[in-house]
Amino acid sequence: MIKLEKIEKVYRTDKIETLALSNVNLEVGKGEFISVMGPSGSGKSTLLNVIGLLDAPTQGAVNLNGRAIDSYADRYLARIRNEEVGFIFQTFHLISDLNVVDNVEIPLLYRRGLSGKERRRMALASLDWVGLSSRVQHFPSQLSGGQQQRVAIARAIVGRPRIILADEPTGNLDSRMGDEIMGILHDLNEADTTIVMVTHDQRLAERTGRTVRLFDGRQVN
Amino acid sequence: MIKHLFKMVWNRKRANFLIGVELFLSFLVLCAVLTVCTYFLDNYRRPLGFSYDDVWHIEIAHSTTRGDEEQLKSQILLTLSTLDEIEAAAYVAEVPFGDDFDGVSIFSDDGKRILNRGNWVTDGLGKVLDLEIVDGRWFNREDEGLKGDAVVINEELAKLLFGLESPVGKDIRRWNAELLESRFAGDLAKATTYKVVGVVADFRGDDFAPSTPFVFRRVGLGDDYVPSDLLVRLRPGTKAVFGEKLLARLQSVVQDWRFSITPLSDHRTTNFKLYLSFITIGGFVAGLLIVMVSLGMMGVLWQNVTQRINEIGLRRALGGATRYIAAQFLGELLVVTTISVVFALAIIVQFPLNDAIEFVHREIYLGGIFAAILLMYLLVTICALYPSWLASRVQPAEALHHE
Amino acid sequence: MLKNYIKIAFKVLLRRKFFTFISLFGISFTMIVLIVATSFYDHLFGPFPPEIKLDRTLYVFDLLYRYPQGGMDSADSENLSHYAVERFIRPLEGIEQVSIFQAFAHSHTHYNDQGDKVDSYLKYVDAAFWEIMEFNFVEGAGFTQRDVADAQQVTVINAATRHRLFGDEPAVGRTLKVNRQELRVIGVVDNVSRLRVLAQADIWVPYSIDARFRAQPLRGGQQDMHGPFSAVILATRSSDLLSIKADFRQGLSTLRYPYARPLIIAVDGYAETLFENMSASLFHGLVDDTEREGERFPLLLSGVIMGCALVFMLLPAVNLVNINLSRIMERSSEIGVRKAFGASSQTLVGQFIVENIMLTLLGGVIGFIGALGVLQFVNSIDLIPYAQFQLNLRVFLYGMLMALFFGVFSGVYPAWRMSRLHPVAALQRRKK
Repeated sequence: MIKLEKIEKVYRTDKIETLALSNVNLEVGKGEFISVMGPSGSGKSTLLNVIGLLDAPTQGAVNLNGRAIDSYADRYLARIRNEEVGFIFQTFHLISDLNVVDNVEIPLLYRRGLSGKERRRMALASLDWVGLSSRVQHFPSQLSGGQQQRVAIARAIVGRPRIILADEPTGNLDSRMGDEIMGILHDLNEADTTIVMVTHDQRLAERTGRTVRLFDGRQVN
Repeated sequence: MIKHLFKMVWNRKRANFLIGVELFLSFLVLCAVLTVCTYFLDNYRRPLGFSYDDVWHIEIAHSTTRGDEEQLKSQILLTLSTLDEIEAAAYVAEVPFGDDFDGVSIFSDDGKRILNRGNWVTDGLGKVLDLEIVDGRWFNREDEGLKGDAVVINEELAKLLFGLESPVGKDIRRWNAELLESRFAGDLAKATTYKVVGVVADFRGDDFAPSTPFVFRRVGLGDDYVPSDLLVRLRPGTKAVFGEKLLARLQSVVQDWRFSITPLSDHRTTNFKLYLSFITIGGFVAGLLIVMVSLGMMGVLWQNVTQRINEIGLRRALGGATRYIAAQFLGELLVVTTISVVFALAIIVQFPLNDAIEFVHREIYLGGIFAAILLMYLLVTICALYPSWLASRVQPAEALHHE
Repeated sequence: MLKNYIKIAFKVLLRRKFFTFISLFGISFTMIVLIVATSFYDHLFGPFPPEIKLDRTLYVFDLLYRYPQGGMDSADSENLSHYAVERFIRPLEGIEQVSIFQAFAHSHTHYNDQGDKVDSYLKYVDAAFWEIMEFNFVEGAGFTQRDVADAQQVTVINAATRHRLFGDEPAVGRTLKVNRQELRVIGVVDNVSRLRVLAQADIWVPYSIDARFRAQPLRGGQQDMHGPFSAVILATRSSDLLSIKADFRQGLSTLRYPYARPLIIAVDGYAETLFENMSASLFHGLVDDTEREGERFPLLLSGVIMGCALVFMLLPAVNLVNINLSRIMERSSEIGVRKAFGASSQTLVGQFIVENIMLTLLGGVIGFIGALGVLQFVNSIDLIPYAQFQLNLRVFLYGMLMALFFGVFSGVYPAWRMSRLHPVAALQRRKK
């Protein structure tokens, strides 16, 4: 499903060069649920960015769903992200000016060939799946942390992507809400979605398929 | 997608309100300025209806009570006719390129007052100003019997009152029932009318005057009141120095009157310069206002983009290509603009609907409004270009993990 | 403390140069337009030579002969005769001096020695004119009572005319030909702007030398009120103006008008200040100005002027509010941090106000300099003959007032928003 070969990522800001990732090789099969762990600054988020095509590696090859990413042209990447990948963030990143169902619809807006009615239908189905049907007209500020993250998940899956990338999804939640979210992720995984999750929490990582560890941009065991 | 834009704009209405107000005011200014421009341009392209080359204006200053003014004025005309250099002469109440021409009181058959401009003139004017007669004839001696009720009107008025029929020989009412009551105590003997003697193509007082219904009223030399401004047409090739001779001649006819001579083209130049200065100043101020607003708008939009960097990063992550992001910001602004324009139009449209300003036709308003709308959207788009471009350049990874 | 604010304000303004620039541009531009307009207004209505004593001056420009029907076009206006002035104006209480003159100068063509056509504006006045108006005499003096009584062939000319006829040599004692009469120059005055319609001319001449203006003989046993003159009244005290106006109208109402003109039912007149007079003539033909009762037209004119000023200021003001808001929002994280570290809303708002005032003042200064430039330009192209627009104390004060208004108006709302910024929200905005 996901294949990274000899990935290197260097950040250049003014005169300082930071080596965020070095010689990372990763293969994630279809339907796997893996964790990425490591201390802060080890490049976990960068790894997720590279997988999710949010960032181009300075060296190396990325392969998604058997398709080699040979171009980093914006429109090409945007389409792949839209169709293949779903993101979940630690800080939810919901648009506060829009209500729940409008937030969930956003990925579908960037997809061609869908009528307004269809989009609405798919968004509502998505929200139903995460158990938020009673809150569709609410605004993010009216929801608890756990509910907001569920909206984010609904948004991530609304377009039925095959890969979900989650960056510390329970980082801003208490343990009870966090467990709820993990429950939803495992449900997703059972429905054959490939999930790559960055986490601090050893406990959560243990419940996933396997763990990749990073230290200073390199893989360690 | 458009619905989405409207939603974004509506949900951010507090932030967008002030911008909307600014756009609303700017559009009002644009409409006003462009309507005025259209008005002047439209007027300018029309023919004046008369010729001013080789025409001189002689201003007469005489005392108020003498008793024989009118006789002397006849004598002056007689004297002028003896001079070789003068082809024609006539008295006029209003001199072209001078102050506004006051209209006369006329009413349509159904009692509506017809707004118009007019002039009181003697027989010679047709030749002096080289007026183009399209129906009937200009005034002459035969009209003495009509005693000041003879009129020559322009085509516009003819069409207005008589449609396609020839107005020559027909009557025009001077009062309506109400005025007859108050002015003449219902004395119907006073119910006078004008009789149309002829029709001219058009007559406009200066280059920028609008086309209006126009009435020339005949003044006979024996009438109680003869105007004190003379217009004379000179034989082509007459030198300016003839003025001295003319002045002396005039003075010799009437000792204690004062005469002052100005070529009509001089009046035109002065008048032109006056309009030009107003237009220039107005245009300049309006232009700078627009620049000021544009700059301000650019700053506000830029700030708007910076504020929403997270949102931008998110949308990019969800598959929004850069062009969509740029289009979104531009689109939001256009939506706000459209709402402001609609509100402003609700006010502006009152003007043409009610014919609020004299002699400004509906087409002028429409032209001005249309041009304003085009210009408005153009300006807004230009202001939004840089900020939208900035928005599209945002790196999603940085934006999302903005620390 | 204030010094601190100013130092910080200065740094802040420099940091975001674009915002500072567009704010300054907006303020300066608006100030330039407003100041130039104020200068123009002042030029029209303010006390300038020769109309310096405007607070004690009233003009009687014409009389109104009323028809019965009322409304527009229901009265004819005619200037006054000698008789009218002597009988109804001179005896009024509280008057220091009355002058009879022809309000509108007419253009006069003569040919000078070189044969060039010279056009001048000629005005007929009396001796009292020179007492009520205070002309700046460059040479000589005005007519005396004697001159007028004896119909002396004398004249006062303006500097421009002197220049055109005699170059830069002294003109007193020399002659010029006006209407076939040889007039001796007895005074030369500074040019008067054409916009000061009632006082201006190029050549002033005693009315008595022109046969047309000598007192009219009785006609059919009646003295006619109708003549070629206007009058200007100098009151002893400015507080007397109201009573003079009232007394004048009162006096006229006692007139039983002789039926020399059919249908006239009454004769009416108004003694008006310059502003009142000009507002009435401005609205002539647009609005029914035959009933010039009380303050209607001056109020209307003031209203129109202030309305225009406000409307014009509206757009720049909203623009400024927008820009200020953006400035604040842009620094919201900085504000959040400051608040979190204990800065009170007051301090922050105070800081912002200082910044705003600095901007406004700077904009005002640029505005003044710009306005000065514009006025210089307008004066140099001689848009209106002899008109010299200037920035004097009055205009300066108005300008300061307007700049202050701008500063306050464009700062209030943004400052209020700033004080309400929740530190946590602001910080989070930054962290994300």
